[in-house]
Formats: sequence, C-alpha cells, structure tokens
Amino acid sequence: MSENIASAEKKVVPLQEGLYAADSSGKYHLVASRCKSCKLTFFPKRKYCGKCGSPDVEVFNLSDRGKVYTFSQVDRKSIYTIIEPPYMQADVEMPEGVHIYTILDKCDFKAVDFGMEVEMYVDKVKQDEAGNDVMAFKFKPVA
Amino acid sequence: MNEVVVMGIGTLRFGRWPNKSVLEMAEAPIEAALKDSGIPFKDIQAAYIGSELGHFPDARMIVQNFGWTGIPISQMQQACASGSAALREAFYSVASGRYDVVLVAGYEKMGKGLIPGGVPEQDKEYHLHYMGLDVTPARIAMAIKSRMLAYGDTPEMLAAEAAQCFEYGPLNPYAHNQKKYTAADVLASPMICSPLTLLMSCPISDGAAAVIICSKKKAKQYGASRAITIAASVAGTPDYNDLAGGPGPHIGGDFKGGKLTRRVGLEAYEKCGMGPKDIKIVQCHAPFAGGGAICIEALDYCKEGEGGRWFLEGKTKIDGVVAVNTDGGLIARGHPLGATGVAEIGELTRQLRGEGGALQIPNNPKVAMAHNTGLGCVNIHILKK
Repeated sequence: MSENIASAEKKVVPLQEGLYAADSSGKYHLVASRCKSCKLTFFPKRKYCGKCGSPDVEVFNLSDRGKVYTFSQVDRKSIYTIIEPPYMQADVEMPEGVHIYTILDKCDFKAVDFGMEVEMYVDKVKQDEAGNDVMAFKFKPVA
Repeated sequence: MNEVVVMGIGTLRFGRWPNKSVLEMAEAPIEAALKDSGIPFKDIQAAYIGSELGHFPDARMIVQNFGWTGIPISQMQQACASGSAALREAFYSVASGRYDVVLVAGYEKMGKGLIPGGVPEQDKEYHLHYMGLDVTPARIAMAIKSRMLAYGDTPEMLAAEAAQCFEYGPLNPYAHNQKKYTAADVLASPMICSPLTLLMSCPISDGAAAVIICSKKKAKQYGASRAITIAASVAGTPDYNDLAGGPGPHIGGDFKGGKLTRRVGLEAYEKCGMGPKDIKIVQCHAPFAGGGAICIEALDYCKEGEGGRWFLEGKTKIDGVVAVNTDGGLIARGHPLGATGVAEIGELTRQLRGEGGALQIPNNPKVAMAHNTGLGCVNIHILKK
C-alpha cells in the first residue's frame, strides 16, 4: 500500500490526546495517575503529584463506572463548544476517589439524579478536515 | 510593615461603554480618586493596573494619560480577581517601604456571551472547550445543586440572594442594573444552567475603578482625616484539597463549598486580630446566586448549610447581622472582571467614611471586608478606620 493511499484512509483520532486509551481488547478506559508516595489519584494524569510534587507516579486505567455526584443542564453555548445546548453536564465520582467533569449523554435529562450509576464510553463528536472521525469520552447511564 | 491607607476612590458607572476606549474608561475614576485623595499625579510613585482581557499597551496608556513621569507600571491578570490582585501587590509595595504613594486601577471591556476561560489553540485543552465544559455558570450550578442535596438549599434561597442585589442596585449610582427585580422575577427568568436563571447571574458589564493608597506616615502630608487603613491583605490559590474535577487547566477552587475562602479568610482574621464579630459589612464575590451563601459560611458568619437561609431571612441586608454586597454585588452592580475588586474597595471606603448614602449601613461601621475570587484564586482585604 502506498503512502498516498494510507494517508487518504479515514482514521479515528481523539479530540485530545492522553485522556483515555484502549486496552489490548480495544476497550477504552480513562487514564489517571497515582502518586507512589502519597497514593493520591488525579485525572487527567499528571507528570508530578498534585499533592506532594513527586515525579514518581504510576499511570493506570480508571474504573469504567462511577456515580453522579452533581449535575446541571446547560442551556447556553460557550464560543468554542461543538455540541448544541441543551446538554447535561455532570460531575461523576469514580471508585478511585477522583471526580470527572463530563457530558452525560444518552439520558433523559429529567431522570438524571444524584448517585445515578453511569459508565464511560467514547463517541464521535465531529469529523475533521481530513475526514477523520474525532472521538471524545462521555458518560451515559448504566443500562 | 508600614501601615497602608486608602486615600482616594473613584468608580466609572458599570454598564456598556462601546464607544469609550479603555483609556477613556479609566480616566474618570482615576481623576476622581486623585481628587478624593488630595494627592497630585506627579507624586504617584508606581501604578498597578488589573485587567483580565486587556492588552499590553493598556496599562501604560491609562497611566501615562496623566503624565509620562517614568514610574514603574505593572499590569495584573488574575481573571475576576485581577483588580484585587493589583491592590494586593500595591499594598505590599507600600507596606514594605518600597513606595509611599501608589495608584491602583482596574478596568475591563467585556465581549459578548460567556467567558470561555482559555483559548484552545493556546492551552490545548480541546476536550474542555469543545465539549462545553468551560461554562463557568455550569460549574457553580453543579456546586449549588450539591448544596441542595446536602443542605436543602432551594431556588427560593437563590432568588432571595439575587433579589437583595436588585434591591440595592438601583440605589447605587455606579451599578449597571438600575431596575428592581423581585424574587418572583428572578425565578421566572430563563434558565441558564439549572438551577441558575438569567437573573441569578451577573450581567456583562464594562467598567473601571481606581484607588490611591499611601503609607500612613506620608498620608499626614496630604491631610489624612478620611484615610481608611488596609488592615490585612491575604491571597491564596487552590490546593489539592480544592480539586473539583477534570479535565481542564483550571480545575479546583471554591466550587466544592468555599474551603479556599475559609482558609484565606482565617488567615486574614489572624493578620488583623479581628473576625466576623467585628466586621459588619462584606463585599463578597458572588457572580451567581448561591455564591454569597457559600461566602458567609466560609467566612464564618454562619454554619455550613445556613447561608441560603440567611439570605431568605434577610440577615444579610443592610440592617441585618452582616450587610452583604450593599452596592448590589456582582449580580446588580455588574462584574467587569478587573474593575470588580477595586470597586469593592470603593464601596467599603464610602461605607466606613459614612458616605454610603441610601445604602449606608447603620451604627457607624469600623471594619469592612472585601472578598474577590478569580479562576478559583482568592484575595481578601480587610479595611478599618
């Protein structure tokens, strides 16, 4: 296969590098870091621990499910936003203790509540100029 | 440290000033502050100018409009707290003995719509910006929502806090919003980010404000009978305990319930040896309803979870237990980012001088507190006469 043909092929690219990664089976997980010294976990992953500043951190995959800690239906659009309001924004508390700010999709807005069990998934959010599918993580209620 | 006093104040009415340049916006409040202080511009030894959205020539143009005297001019950028950051640095420049007479000003010409909190091509936080997670009121709304679960806060409490702003705004000649809205109006206005409605949110305002500060010993030379002492100037940024959630470059701050304000407030109380019992008037940073409730709890006026009820019961009014945002606050007075922290000092100085007019709090207040936050960072100043 020539380089020209390869570069013309549609690819799947992340909206932002480093927030999630696929495991060997192709399943996506959010990527966090944990300080080997003080054991504190941060998402997104950090080069230095946010508490003690140690560079000795391990990178690992977060659980796929968490619980809605709080939420708000957003009816206004910020200038760079590519999704259309109204949309549901949520703070999801993960079993590892970190909180994730996220879009909560595939849900009935009226049914969203504190403590609701939700799971991370990766969704196409736009197509870039090269025709690639641009992907980002979201959360949705556990079916 | 040398004692530092506020000698002069000036404010340009907050509102929309599309035809004024930033130089023109800042001119009137600086003129007013100089006149109020009795200090001629030629005696100013340094200037600290606060603005978040300004550009590099602004501060020089604003100051050199009054004369090319060759003084150091610094521009401070700390989001919504740019004005109080300028005051803080000016305060320490006088307290340390480096200067005796310093000009502080804050200004902002706002654009339209929500402030995005960063530029994707610069910070590369594409997920935050493109996925609509950089909407500031949504972060506050989520914090308020969790208060509803934890403390039983209600939309009526939020409406009471906003309605108090709209009660005082029309009595403040510098306020953007001169119309009186009731709690029912606030609840009936369009939803922005549930549970926050349009009238629970600060409007988009241009504005400018200025303050002249001076060492106490030098102040005597100008006749310091109306001088107000800056008794404490304390600042803090979020620590890992304040982390609220990711992804984003500006995660953390008071979104989880005012922990940073509590920490900075406590340090300010320790610095000046006074506390909530002594301070009966507070200008607090509440761009959205609920911010005031969080503040009065964090500043130790009431217990956690009681703040919303205090607004509902009127304990935060001019004749209440503590007078909060007597000038209409950010919601009615307006919030031109860099100007806000400096305008707070103007209002509190008027109150301590007994020049509060229709908004004057009773019983001859002696001490006042200004609380200003920007991107989660907090600056607190305590004033006394």
